[in-house]
Amino acid sequence: MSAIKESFGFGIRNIRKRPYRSFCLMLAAVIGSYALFVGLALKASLNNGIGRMQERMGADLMIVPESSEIEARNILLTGEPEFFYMDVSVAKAVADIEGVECATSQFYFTSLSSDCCSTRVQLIAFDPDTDFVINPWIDERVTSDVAGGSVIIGSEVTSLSNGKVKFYGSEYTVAGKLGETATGLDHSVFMTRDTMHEILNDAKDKGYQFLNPEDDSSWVSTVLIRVTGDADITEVEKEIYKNAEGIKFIETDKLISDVTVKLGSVENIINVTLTVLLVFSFLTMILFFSVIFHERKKEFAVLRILGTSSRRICLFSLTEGITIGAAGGIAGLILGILTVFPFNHYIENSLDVPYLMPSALAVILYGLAGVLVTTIFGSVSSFLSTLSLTHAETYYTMRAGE
Amino acid sequence: MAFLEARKLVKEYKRRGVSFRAVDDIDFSIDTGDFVMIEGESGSGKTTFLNLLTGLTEPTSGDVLISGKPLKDIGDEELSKIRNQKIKYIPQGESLLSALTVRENILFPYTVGGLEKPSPERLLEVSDKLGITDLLDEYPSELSGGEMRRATIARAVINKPSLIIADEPTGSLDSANTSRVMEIFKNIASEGTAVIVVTHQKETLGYASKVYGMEQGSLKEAV
Ligand SMILES: Nc1ncnc2c1ncn2[C@@H]1O[C@H](COP(=O)(O)OP(=O)(O)O)[C@@H](O)[C@H]1O
Ligand SMILES: [Mg+2]
Repeated sequence: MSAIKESFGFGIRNIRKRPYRSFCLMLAAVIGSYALFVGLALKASLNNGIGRMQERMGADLMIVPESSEIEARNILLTGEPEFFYMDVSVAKAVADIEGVECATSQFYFTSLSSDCCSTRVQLIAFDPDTDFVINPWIDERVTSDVAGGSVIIGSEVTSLSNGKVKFYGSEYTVAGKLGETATGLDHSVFMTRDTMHEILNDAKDKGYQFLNPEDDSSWVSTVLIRVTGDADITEVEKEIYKNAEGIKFIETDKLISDVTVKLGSVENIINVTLTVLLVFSFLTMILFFSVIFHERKKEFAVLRILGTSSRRICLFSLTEGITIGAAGGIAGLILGILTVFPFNHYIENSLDVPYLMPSALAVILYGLAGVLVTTIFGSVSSFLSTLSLTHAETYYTMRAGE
Repeated sequence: MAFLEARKLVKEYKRRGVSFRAVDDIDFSIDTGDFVMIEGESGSGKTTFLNLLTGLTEPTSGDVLISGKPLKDIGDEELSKIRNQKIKYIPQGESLLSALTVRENILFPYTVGGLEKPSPERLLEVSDKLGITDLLDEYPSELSGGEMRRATIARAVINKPSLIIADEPTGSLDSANTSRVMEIFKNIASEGTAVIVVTHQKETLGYASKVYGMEQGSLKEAV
């Protein structure tokens, strides 16, 4: 025990005596630990994001106007507010089709980022009687009901200080909040058609003429469908095509597999970068330690002369490696925390795939993995460098002039 | 039985592919209280011989025996312990650890070995004798060559070992410090420690009880 304590004491003295070299070595460890932490946190967030998205996409099929497929995908994937409409008859067209288990329609609108509104978000009117996609994910229910002109907000929507949200000059009570979905729904506000009608009227009064509120009830933006377990989706689509025109289907499975493909390429980039940085970190440490220990050959010879056993010398250099690896690793972890948490939203917005960070605790565990890895790098590289010295006879001998 | 003995000791090195004997068939022994000095030109094999005696280098052939036991039969841990406690080697050149103060350097063998640390009085006694008491808390980089040398000697003599081996210990010292150091070795020998000093300064040979000359790897007793 005291041997280990004294080795650490001696190791730390050596590290402090050579601040510049120690700093360079530590930097290599910082890079390794930082890369591992950020890389793993990103990968976990991406996988968590797609997992959550898959779980929370309640519908199998989404009908949108023929020309609005991209906009609809944006709403789901990035939360970019959009609106588009088709005739309400589409909603009726799906009603009696075989294979349709349930269907509900939604009406999209957007708020603005000017001072009439809290923020620019996607406004979604849904039908509480037929809805099967929103209700299951309402996390916090507040006493009041959506029916009375109040709204449900997505997890990323911020309310005013009085707890309400404001659109086109009127404030609305928040009746509930959705759990995180890693989809565009996190940036959306949900309400009934009646509330939407009021908002459209307010918008018109303020001079924003998007749609004539007189006949808004004759339009819908999308019809969401869940098919029965044994139904063939293409058959269902064919049947619906017979009854409706100018429409396009977005299949959830297809959407998710598209996202998965994209995710795969993002993950590949992360994997390659991570591997390169880890290899770089390890090789740099090996190189530095062997150069430094080679220069310190004479010091090792002195240690031998003073009666330090080979084992003890390995312990000395191991403690230097462990200390440098762990200290650099912890610094990398702190840097990683300072990157991953504050820039979480920035990262989320710059990747157009679902991104949802796991709990902070889980993320920090990845950081500890990074610290562990660089500590191992430090130990292994210092150990290997020492071995290469103890095997050379020059290590034992002190010669004049050296 | 002698404390330390060399039998038919040979060490070969290669130079430009041709092997030659840096130490050539040496028989040697030393006992407690002996003060042996070895004199010889640079390159005659003195340092190689000392490295063999302390087990830091393995001989090509022949044996070194400590209290009758061949070094090659002693494992690294035990041999390290012997170097830590019984055989103190003062190598040629500088051998202080740069990360430690002079005081820590002198006490370092106790840090790695199992012996109890010497008392502060003993440390002061030795440092006073060598004139380095004021330097105890300095780092080696602050010291002159002669001061470093004396600190190294303090490190070796502090626990009164069985054998002290010094490779040109007075090389960088002025004549006052040279005689100071030689007196210390002489005193230590009179207290029962065996001492081997290698030198190329003929004027110091008078301190020794026995003098050897080294020439091209061969050791011969001087008359
Ligand atoms: N590790 C070594 N490898 C090859 N030659 C060596 C080695 N050590 C010493 N020598 C050679 O052995 C001879 C004796 O060296 P050394 O023992 O250092 O002499 P001295 O100490 O008397 O000056 C020299 O010619 C030296 O070059
Ligand atoms: Mg020499």
